Amino acid sequence: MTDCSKKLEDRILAGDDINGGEAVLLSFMEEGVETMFGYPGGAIMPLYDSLHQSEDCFRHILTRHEQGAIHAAQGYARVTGRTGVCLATSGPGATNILTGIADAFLDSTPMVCITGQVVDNLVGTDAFQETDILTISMAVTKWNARVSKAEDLPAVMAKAFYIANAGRPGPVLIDITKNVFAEKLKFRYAKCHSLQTYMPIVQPDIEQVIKAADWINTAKRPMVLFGQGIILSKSSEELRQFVERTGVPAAATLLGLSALPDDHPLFMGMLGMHGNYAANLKTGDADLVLAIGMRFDDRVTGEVSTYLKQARIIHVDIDPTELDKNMETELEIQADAKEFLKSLIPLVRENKHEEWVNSFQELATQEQNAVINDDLHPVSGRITMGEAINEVGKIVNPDTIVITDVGQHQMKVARYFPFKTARTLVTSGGLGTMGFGLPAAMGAQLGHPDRTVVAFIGDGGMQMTMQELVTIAHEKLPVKIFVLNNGFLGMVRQWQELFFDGRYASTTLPGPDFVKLAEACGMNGMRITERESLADQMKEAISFDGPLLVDVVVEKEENVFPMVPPGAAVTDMILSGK
Amino acid sequence: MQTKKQYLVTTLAQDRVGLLSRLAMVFSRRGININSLHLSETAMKGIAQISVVVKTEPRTIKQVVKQIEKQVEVMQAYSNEQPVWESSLVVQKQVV
Repeated sequence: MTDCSKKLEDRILAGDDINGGEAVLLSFMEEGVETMFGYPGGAIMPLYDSLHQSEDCFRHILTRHEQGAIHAAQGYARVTGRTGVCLATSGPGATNILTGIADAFLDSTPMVCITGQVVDNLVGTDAFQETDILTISMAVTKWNARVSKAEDLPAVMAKAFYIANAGRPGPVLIDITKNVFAEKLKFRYAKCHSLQTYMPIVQPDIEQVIKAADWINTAKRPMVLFGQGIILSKSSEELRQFVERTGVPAAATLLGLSALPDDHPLFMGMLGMHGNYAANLKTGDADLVLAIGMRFDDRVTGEVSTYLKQARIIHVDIDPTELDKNMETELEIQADAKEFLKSLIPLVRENKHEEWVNSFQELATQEQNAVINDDLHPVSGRITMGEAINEVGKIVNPDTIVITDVGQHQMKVARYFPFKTARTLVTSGGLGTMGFGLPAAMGAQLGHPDRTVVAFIGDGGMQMTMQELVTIAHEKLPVKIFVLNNGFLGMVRQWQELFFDGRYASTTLPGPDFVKLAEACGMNGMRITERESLADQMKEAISFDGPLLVDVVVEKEENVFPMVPPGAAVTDMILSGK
Repeated sequence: MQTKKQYLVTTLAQDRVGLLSRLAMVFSRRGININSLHLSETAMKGIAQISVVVKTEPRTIKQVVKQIEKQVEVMQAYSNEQPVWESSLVVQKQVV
């Protein structure tokens, strides 16, 4: 137990009973929780009362909306690898965290969410602020449970933390009826290390690894496709060793970005709808694909019936439901990515695949000439999103954490930010949640107070959760927030331009004066409008001591290319809309 | 599109409030109707056996079974193809 829990520990040793609220906090201490995000309300008030009495034990961040709390907890969990903890009250408090829970479910983020519930004898009666959050959250939680007796708390809490982190991580929701917080119990905590009914397989079947190595050793045009599984299993180093030994080129999903350094000679960029030209087109030439810790999401595969038709596929994932789900594959290996790579590396032969690796370059040059030069070095018009992102990328430290919201700017960050260190990108991948970025940046900064955290957010997503500017200012978190402001819901507008004959239905988005907004919320604001001063102003922004919002006025109708048009094969990726 | 077949899906799971909802959710999410359902206690304390008859495609049933097995409470799930039993009722009026 930590020093701060001494008061409670002394009471337990003296044989005193503690109450349910204190038991929740003691469980947090046992699990090493230091930071949590939340919003009080009727049903969870007694827990907040206990928290108030142990306030030196935890840093609780009072956000301005429960959605802010859950996304902040996600940001915290994503950058630290620790469990994100979020507290909310019953009814609207609980339903307000659902979007974040769904986001964490799709992006495999370990979370423990505590919701207060009406007192046990009112459950099921449509009491004030009662919702059946267990049923509502069932489809988006890895596990959920209600506690209506204080004596059940320690075991349920231990189970919650175990399940959130074991195997493929995910969110767990514990709904606690209000009476529990006041009830007394004898507190005994035993951490959970396994469950009879849930035992994720971590070690790969060695026969399968031998087969995989044999296929890799004999392949002429092999490719690695990797996802967030590499980051979650902390196997970036093993992945680097594998590709360097075998000479196999590698490409990442959106959530896999940062697992290999951006400038690694065998890293070919991002897969999918707005990924890199060579990375996508070459999937159509590969004779063997090793897919690790990724799930063949439709944004990666394009029209799935056309994807990797000519290649033998080895699919490695810790979650067996992902194997053979979106793609039928030849070899399915259920394992932790790190354990798999550790077993595989000694079995693969050194190789170079020079001709195959060089063949990516020609396509990369086409992309450079058709897209990248104009994106990063335009000679006229307003500042482009790529230019702004690139400028930040040039001046920040290699361990800088980058947060994005969702939309065009997100794809531009994925394409143009030079990631150097694993676990430095936090973005909403599977659910694509606008409004995620700002609160996630707050959580990320709390997870790593000493590192630079930059958030790139569109003006649309910014307006979804902008009340969290107040929280960031109040907590004095030195996040650098870059609003890439084009006055449009850019990605939807791009689709309207390309696929709806330019009918801009509800995508023009007049926004507030973001600089004044920042100032009104208690932080500094800055505006960048001119290319000539971009570099200097970005330097000034990054070196600013404290929270800062930078309103970057960018080109209004810029598009993200290359692009795999909806319903097309990734090999039919287009370099422009013309 | 594969031809639909009838399957008996058997699940052994820790019996707790909400278990049936979680299992039903896996089927309903994919638009699969449950034709029959039986839940009973087993000789193992706290472990229930749930038998469900559904009609779906062979590839889907494989995925559904895996998704059921993924539920934290579930120890084991498996499916067997079942012959489709057609029953009919004949009403006869007999004059005696």
